[in-house]
Amino acid sequence: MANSWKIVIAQPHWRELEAHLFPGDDDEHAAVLRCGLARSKRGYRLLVHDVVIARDGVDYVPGTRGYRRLLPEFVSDVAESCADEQLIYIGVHCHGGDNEVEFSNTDIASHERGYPALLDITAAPAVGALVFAERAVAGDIWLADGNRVEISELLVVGRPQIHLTPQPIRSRAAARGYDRQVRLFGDRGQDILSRQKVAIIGLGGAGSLVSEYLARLGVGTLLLVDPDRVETTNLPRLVGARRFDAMAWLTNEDRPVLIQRLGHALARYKVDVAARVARQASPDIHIDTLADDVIEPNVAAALTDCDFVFLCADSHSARRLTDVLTHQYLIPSAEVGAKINLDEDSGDVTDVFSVSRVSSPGGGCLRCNFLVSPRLLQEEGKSDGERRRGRYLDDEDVSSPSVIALNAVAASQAVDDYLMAVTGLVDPSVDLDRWVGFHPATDELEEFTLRKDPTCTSCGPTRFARGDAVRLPVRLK
Amino acid sequence: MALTNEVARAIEEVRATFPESTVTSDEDGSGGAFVTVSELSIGSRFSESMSWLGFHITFNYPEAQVYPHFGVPGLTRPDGSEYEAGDGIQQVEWGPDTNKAKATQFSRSSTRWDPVVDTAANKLLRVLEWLRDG
Ligand SMILES: [Zn+2]
Repeated sequence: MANSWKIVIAQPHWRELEAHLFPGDDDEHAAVLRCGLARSKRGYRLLVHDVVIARDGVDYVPGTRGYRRLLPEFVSDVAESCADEQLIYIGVHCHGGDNEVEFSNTDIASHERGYPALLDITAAPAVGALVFAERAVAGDIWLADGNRVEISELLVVGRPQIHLTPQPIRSRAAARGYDRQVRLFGDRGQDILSRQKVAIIGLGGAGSLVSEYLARLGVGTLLLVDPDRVETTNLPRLVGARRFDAMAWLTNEDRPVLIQRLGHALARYKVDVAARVARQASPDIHIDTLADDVIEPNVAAALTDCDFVFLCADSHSARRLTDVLTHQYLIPSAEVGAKINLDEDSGDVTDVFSVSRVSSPGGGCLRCNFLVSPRLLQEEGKSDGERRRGRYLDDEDVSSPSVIALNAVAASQAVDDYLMAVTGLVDPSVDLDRWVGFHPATDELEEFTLRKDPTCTSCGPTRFARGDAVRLPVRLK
Repeated sequence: MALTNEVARAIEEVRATFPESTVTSDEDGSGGAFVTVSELSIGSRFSESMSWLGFHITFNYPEAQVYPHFGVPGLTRPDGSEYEAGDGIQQVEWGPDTNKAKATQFSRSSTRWDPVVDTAANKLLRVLEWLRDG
C-alpha cells in the first residue's frame, strides 16, 4: 500500500482530457499529463498540473511500428517544459474497450525504447504512461531509481468523484449496521467511505458535529486538529462534551484565579472529546488527534495526504492553508461555519447566517473571493503579546455569538455535499463548487457566484498540483 | 531558526531599496523577522526630522500585508503637541517579546494589498511618503 502509485486529476482537466480521448469516433487519441508529486505513508500521488493535447494528424500521426505515434518533436518539447518546471511527464492514449484495459506489446516496447531517455531529459523522479478505455485506466510508471510500477487507480476529484482502475474491482460487503444508508449509496459507496481519510480543522461547535456525522457514516480515518481545551461556555454547542471535560467546578468564576487557571490547564482537549464521540459511533474507526495549531509545520504536513478537509475554525492562516491543500495537493475542502454580525455601535444583530463552502481543485478558492484578509494574516503572524501591545484590535477577547442549530445547518450541508460527491451520487451536471449560505432571520438562501484570479498565489499555476515541490504556508521552526 | 524564502527576499529588497541605510533584522522564531532601517528623513511634520523605521514581516508574507510601521519613540508635532490615535500615530511598545522597546507606531493599512505587486520595500516607501507629506 505504501508503495502504491495513483493519479489524481481535477475535474476540469479530466473533462478536457476525456473530451479529447473519447470524442465518439472510436479512434485513438493522445495527450501528455504534466504532473506534480506528493508522497506520504499512504503512497505516491501523481497530481495532474495540466493536460497537453497532442493534435490528431499534427503531433499524433500514423506510426511505423504501431498504429499511431507521437512526433519526436512534440515529445521533446513537452519533456523540456517538464524539466524547466520540475513536472513529471505522463504520456496518455486510449484504446477501445469499456471497463478493462492494458498496454499492447507495441506500447510496452515503445516505453522501453523511449523512457530511459525521457527520465534523462526531464531529470524527474519518474516518467510514465497511461492507457485509457472508456471506464478503465492502466499505468506503466518508470522511476529514476530503476524500478517500474503500475498505478493502482486514477481519481477524478470534483463533483462527482470518479475512480478508474485497470479492471473492475469488487467492493467489500458493508457491515450489517450500515444497511439503511447502503440502500442509498451501495456497498461500493460504503467501501469508498471506509477508505477515506478526512481531516477536520477545529473541533468546536461546527467541527464536533462534522466529526460525529463522518464517524457515523463510516469514514475510515479521521484526523482531528484543534489546540484548544473545552471551556464551560463551549458546553451548549460541543457534541458529547461533559461538564467534567471543562473542569467546570474549578473554572467557575467564584474560584480563586489560580484554581481557575489550574482548571483550564486540566480541561480536556476538544480533539479528545471528538475522538471519544467518534469511537462510540464507530468502534473500528481510526483516529489521529493533533492538539496543536494547524499552521505548525508538522500538523500541516499531516494534512497533505487526506481525501477531504473540513475547515471549521475561524482563522485566516488556516483558510489560506486550506486553499493551498485544495489546489496544490488536489484535496477538496469545505469551509463550514455560522456567523452573527452585530452593529459596531448599537450591538444590534445585523445578520445571522450559516455557510458551507465546498471547493474542488481547480475551482473555489477562499482567497480569490476575498475571504483571506492580508491584514488578519499579518495579525495572526504575530505573538499574542505583540498583538496586545499594538492596541489596534479594540474588540480583542470579545466573544462572538454562537448557536448550535446554526452550526448544525452548515455542518450538515457540508457533510451532505461531501457524501454526494465521494460516493458518486451527485449529478455530473452540477457545478464544481457549492458555496451556499442560509439566513434564518430573513428566510434567504444565498448561492454564491465564484471569482477566480488567474495569478492567485494560493490556487494559481505557481502552486496548482505541485504537491511536495512548493513549501506550505506555515510557520517555520 | 530561519526565515522563509519570501521573508529573506523581502529583506534583501529593502536593503537594495535603501542602500544608504543600515538594515538590521531579528528573526521572530516563526519564519518572519523584525526589520529596522536606520536614519531616514521623515520630513517636517514631526519633532524630529530623522528616524529609524521598523516593521514586522511575518511568516504569512507576502500574502500578509506589512503593517503597522514604527519609529523613534515620543514623536510629536514640531510644536510639541501630541498626535492622536485617529491620526494613525500613537505611542506603543514594539519588537520581539524578549526585546521590546518604546516606539511611535504609524498605522497605514493597505486595504488592497496584493502579494504579486506589494512588497515590504515599496510599502515602506509609501509610508515614508505619507510621513513626509501627510
Ligand atoms: Zn485563488
